[in-house]
Order: sequence, then structure tokens, then C-alpha cells
Amino acid sequence: MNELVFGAWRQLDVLKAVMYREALVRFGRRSLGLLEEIGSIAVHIVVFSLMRLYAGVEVQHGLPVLPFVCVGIYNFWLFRTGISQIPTALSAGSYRAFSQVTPLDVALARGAVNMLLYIGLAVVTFWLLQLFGYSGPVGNWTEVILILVANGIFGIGCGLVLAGPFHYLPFLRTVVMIGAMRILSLIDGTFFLYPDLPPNLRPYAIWIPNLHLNDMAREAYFPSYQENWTSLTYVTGWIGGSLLLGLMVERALRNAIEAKKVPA
Amino acid sequence: MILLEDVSVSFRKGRARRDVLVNLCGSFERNGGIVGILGQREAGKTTLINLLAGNLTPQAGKLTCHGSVSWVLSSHRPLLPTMTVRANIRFIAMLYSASVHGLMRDVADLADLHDVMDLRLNTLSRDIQSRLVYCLGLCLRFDYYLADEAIVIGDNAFREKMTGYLAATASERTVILVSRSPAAIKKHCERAYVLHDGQLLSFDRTTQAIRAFKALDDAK
Repeated sequence: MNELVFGAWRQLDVLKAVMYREALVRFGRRSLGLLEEIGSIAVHIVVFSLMRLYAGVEVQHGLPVLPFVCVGIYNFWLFRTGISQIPTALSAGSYRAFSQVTPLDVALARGAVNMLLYIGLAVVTFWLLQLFGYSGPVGNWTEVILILVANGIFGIGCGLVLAGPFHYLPFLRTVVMIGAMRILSLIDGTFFLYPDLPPNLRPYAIWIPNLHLNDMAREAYFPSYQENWTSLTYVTGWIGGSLLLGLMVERALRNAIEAKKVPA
Repeated sequence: MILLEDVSVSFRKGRARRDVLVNLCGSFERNGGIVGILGQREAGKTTLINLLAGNLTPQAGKLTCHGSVSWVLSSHRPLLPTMTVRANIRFIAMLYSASVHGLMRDVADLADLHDVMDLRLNTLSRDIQSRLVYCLGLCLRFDYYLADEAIVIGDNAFREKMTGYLAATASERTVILVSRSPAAIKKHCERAYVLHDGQLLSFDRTTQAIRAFKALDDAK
């Protein structure tokens, strides 16, 4: 029992240390650090808000455009960053000197840094929107944050699953990040609601788990919006399934990466 | 104690398979001073060091390790060049559950780095980086230290200081030095092995190991 507690404690120390280094590396990589991260999110919020205004929708179902788009962007950003950063964590060579740091530790630490960063930014953004009168009070803060966390975990799960194909077919990474993610940003409800979709598209749209999460987040954020089509079971299945499969992929990939690692 | 029982490691290069370590057996005691492993080029010295460091797992056999093992002392891999000296020390202290302030003070004193603590590593000379990684390893007080070809690194003054420090505190640790230089093994080690054909040959005295190594070298 003591060994188990000691092991868990050491594992926690390893995770905290890797999170510390990942956070420093992340902001050190960009010349303006955190400001650059905030800038790229702001650009997306502005572009999507303008698209919505251009389409002539300023308020729909009682949802003002700016908080509406912000909720969608932060949810999408958490998922997208997981997909982009988790696969590279598994083959990261910068921790090879430390045998106690496994590729999974790096992936989880990177995912945790992403979640803390973007959820922190989201909370500040939502609070500022309320303060300056662009948004009414948030309906349920706990639910909004939990849905953001769910998106982050879903991103980690899908990132772990995709690490396998990305390792053997590196070009697939470009295809997914440039092609699939752009398409997903247009169909996952970042700037529309499920009821906005034409009725003949709805039977297909309900299969997209990100669309469920976005509509749940908007229901939690805006007290005036009620949805009755999302399924918590379906979303939980996707998140749990992706994590389970992702952990299996990571374990299988660990040996393949190690075999490539050290020459005699 | 580190115990290697019938350990085998092989690598694939294309379709060819190369057996680097074959049913290798050996043991290293705690507080054993400086132990040398002599091996020719491509004998598998680095593979053995990586195995002991936990960076590789044996494909067959068993490796049992009771005690903490350092990274390879001459390697700069533990450091991240884009982080400051202070951030690198903090990260390693967190990773090994050591006191951050204690380690910061010990490393700065031993490596004489007080003036550069807040500078990024990539703005510092290679010598200073070597001093940092080396002293970090020593200050963490591992049970086993791994050295590949060089037991001390850095400029002459630092090498002299560390040679004295290691000699004075030799009984507090085990340093495993792999090298293909008999002179280095003779200078530093009290006991030595020879790594040949994937096997670890044990000798009671360093001179015997060097003689056997030279005989194998001549036969080749």
C-alpha cells in the first residue's frame, strides 16, 4: 500500500514538473509568448463574428453574437490543440534523459497545460464580455467550464488515437490539421446552432460529437437558450472511447518509438 | 544493487538484425567507487549505458535496479537550451522531488554559476552548460552515476576541481564509466569489466581487464 502511495506521489511530481517545462517551452517558442496565443484566438473570434454579422444574424434565440462565437471558438480551440499537440508529445525526444518520464506523461502534461491556458482565457473573456455589456450573466459557470474540460479531454483522446496514423503516415498530419480541422470548424457549430441547420442536414449533423458539446455549452451559458436534442451518453461514449483507444495506441506506439531510438 | 541477468538487446537496420548484447550478466554494488567498462568501437557500450539509465528495456533477460541512477553525466540532454539556468534547475528538482531552493543553492555553489542563473542556456558557453548538467547530477546524490567516455567534463580548472571532488567522495556512490581508452580506465577505476561480443567479462583488477582488452584488440 505504501509503495502504491509513494508511486502515485512520484507520478504526480513527474506530471507537475513536465507541466512546468511544457508551459515554459510553449510560451518561449513564440516571440510574444502568451500575447501571441491570445491574438490568434482573438482573430478567429473576430472573423467568425463578422461572418455571422455578414449573414445578417446579430441575435438569434436571444444569443448575442460575440459571446455566442466565443463559446464556440474556445470549445473548438481546446479540441483542435489536443489533436495538434498530443501526437508530437509521444515522439518528443527532449525527455529522453529522464527514464521516469513516459511519452504518456508528456502528452497528459501538454494536454493539461492547454486546458488550463484556454479555460483560464475563456473564463476571463466571458467575464470581460459581461463587464462591458456584450453578454448577459452566464447561466451556469460550472457547466460551461465542465464542457470546456470535456472538449479538452476529447482533444487529448483523439490526439492519442491519431498519434498512431501520424507516426506511420506523417503526411496525414497535414491533411488532418489543414483539411479536416478546417472542415470541422465549419460544421461543428462554432458559429451556428443545430436549429439553424436545414432540416435535411440535421440527421447527419447529430453524429458530430463536437456539435453536441457546443449546443450543450450554449445552453449552459445562455439561460434563454433551450435545446432538447443533445445526448450526454453519446458524447461521453465518444470521449471515453477515444481515451481508451488512445491509451491502447500510445502503449503500442511506445515500443515502436523506442525501437527507433538508440543505435548501438 | 544493479543486477543484469541474461540480458539481450538487438537492433534492426532494414532487414538485418544486429545482436548488441547477448545473454549479458553482471552486477554493480552501491557505494562501489568508480567501475570501468572497457569496450571496442561498436561493442555496445552506449547501449549498455542506455539500458542502465532506463532509456532502453531489454528484449530478453532481467535488469533489476535497487537505487537511483543518474543520466549520462556528459550528456546535455537533460537541459533545455531555451530555458534559463534557474528554470532548468527548478524543473529537475521538481522531477526528482528534491528541494528547489536547496538544489539551486548547491548547484550554483558547486558549479560557480551565481552570475548566470537568470540567463538562457543558449546564450551561455558550452563549458558553462557542461558544468551545470554535471553538477546537477552530483547534487541530486544518485546511487549510481553513468559516464560515457569521460568522467569529468568542462574546462581544465573545472575538470581538476571535479576530479578532486570525485576522488574525495568516491565511496559515497558508484560511477560506471564506459570507455574504449585503457588509459582513462587505468586513471580513474578501481575495478573494470571488458565488454566483448555482447558479454561482460569480469576482472578483479583493472590491470587484468586492460591486459585482456588489449589481447582481444590485438586478436581483432
